[in-house]
Amino acid sequence: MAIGCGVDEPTAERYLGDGAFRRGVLERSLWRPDLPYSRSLLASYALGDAGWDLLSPMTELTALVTRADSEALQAGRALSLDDAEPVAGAGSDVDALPSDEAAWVALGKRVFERLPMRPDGFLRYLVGTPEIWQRVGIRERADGTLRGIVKYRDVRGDVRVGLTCALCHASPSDDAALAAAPALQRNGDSINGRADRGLDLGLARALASEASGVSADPRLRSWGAGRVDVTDDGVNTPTAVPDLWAMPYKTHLNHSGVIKIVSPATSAVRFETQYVLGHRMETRPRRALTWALSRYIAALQPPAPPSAPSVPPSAELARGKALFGERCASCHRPDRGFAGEMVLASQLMHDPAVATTPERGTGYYKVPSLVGVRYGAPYLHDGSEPTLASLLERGHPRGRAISGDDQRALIAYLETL
Amino acid sequence: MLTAVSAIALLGIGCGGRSIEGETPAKSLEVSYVSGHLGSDQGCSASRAAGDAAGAFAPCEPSDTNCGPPPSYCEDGAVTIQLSNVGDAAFKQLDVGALVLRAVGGDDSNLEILGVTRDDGSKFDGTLEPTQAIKIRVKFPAPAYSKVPKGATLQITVVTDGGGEKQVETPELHVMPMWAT
Repeated sequence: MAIGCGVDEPTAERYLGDGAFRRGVLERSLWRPDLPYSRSLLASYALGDAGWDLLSPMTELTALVTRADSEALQAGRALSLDDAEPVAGAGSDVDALPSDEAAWVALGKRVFERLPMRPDGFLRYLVGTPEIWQRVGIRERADGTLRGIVKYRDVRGDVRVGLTCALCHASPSDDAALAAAPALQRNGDSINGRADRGLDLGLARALASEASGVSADPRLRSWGAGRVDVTDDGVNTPTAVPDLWAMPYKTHLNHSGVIKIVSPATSAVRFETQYVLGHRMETRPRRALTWALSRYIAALQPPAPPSAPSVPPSAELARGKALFGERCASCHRPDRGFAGEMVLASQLMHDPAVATTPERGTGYYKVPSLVGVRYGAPYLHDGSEPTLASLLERGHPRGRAISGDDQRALIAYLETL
Repeated sequence: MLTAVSAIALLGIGCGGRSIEGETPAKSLEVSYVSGHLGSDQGCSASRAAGDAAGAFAPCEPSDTNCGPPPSYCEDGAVTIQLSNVGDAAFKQLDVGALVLRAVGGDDSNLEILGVTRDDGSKFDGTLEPTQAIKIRVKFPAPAYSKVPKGATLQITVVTDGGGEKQVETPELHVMPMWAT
């Protein structure tokens, strides 16, 4: 296979065509194979003559949901797929592979915005109930589309409403931030890779339940915008939806680091298994799309830091940098994109619940990259700290607070990362 | 459709879901595990009851995630298997004879078969031509969440023309996650 994938051609070829390679990546990345989450993937992924490799491939036609679709649902009409096109674009050849890294990334952007990672009944309700859009953080865009919500035909032939990466991991942004964002991340009024912290999926689910006359689980309303509990283990552990940039610096995925990044293919395997689980194990994605998505995510960057004259005086920055070296750099290592190895949750002052959940709890928290941290509020895995100042006042990570001039200097430095 | 598992001589139980031949082997049929989950019974009774009072929303059926606004989560269990005819003659009356939920160190229990379809949702008519391979999906009621045994597997018995049997055992199956990220 000649795919000309630039920086990572051997891995791309092996991910796309070598089941044993994919299996090896999965096995090495699930460093806690005893956890239920790990066991569920190990039991079925990349087995060759059994398991998910035998699933029928996905259907590829999707379209962004529009105001017209909302009106159709309100009127009790079926959703039309007349405006649907392949995830890869109108007229695309599903058998043709991108010729270089830039083309893979460009395809990945389409995947990010248009590939339904899962269907959801509450989304159908949401689309058909525009009066709650503002309340739950859904915005109709100038072209009438709803970011991150698509319609598509599932493997059974039914028309469904599904969510894409762009529902949670893209955020409406002001003109200045949009202008500072890389072009490949602009998505209408939003920036791809920046978590939408105004989106309240718990409330959306609660409202959907109550609209059908069923009392909603009160925990759904307790999450708040920008937070969701994805662990399905009965323990209420909502976490902040993360920004997706700085992927090249990450060592693990998920807050508890249940997935170790052992290869550039790790995230592609992750997206593939996420898709299969999201679609009830009835279909699998085309792997060129999950590889493209992994390349796109790897390319995401935060908008550029503020430029002069808003940059603080250099003396303050120098002081902040020195403080960072003394107080932060042993975990958030500058030579590793300000990320680092996992830390035992029991050694931190923060709530260890997410690190110890039955499904994915490893006992550790990963140390996230601080690249783009100025956009990352609220902070910590659970979004419990509204600002960098409050985080430092509270004494992250082990109780020793940073206040006053030191705090201002450190924050000034952090905001340049 | 049979409702009980015939006596079988197990030659080996594969963790990876490989076939197990019984006393009446159907040698030209190969059965492979594809995927499966145990569904979720959380909120099923509530959603079914609420369906009657759901206004614009019709009563929800399990597994229909697009039916109105589902409450917490209600979904039938489902297992997908692949049937391959490696012989020279067509099968005319294939069927799924039994589903047995097996618990490590616990009791086995027969599960009700709610339906068998092709994996694209179309009708499964029981035929399988030589060299043909198809996937079928078997639905069953989600076991009570609190009673799902850890390490549970599912044994599926496929009945062939003339009463032969072929079995496959899944790897460990799990309750279907609501968020699945």
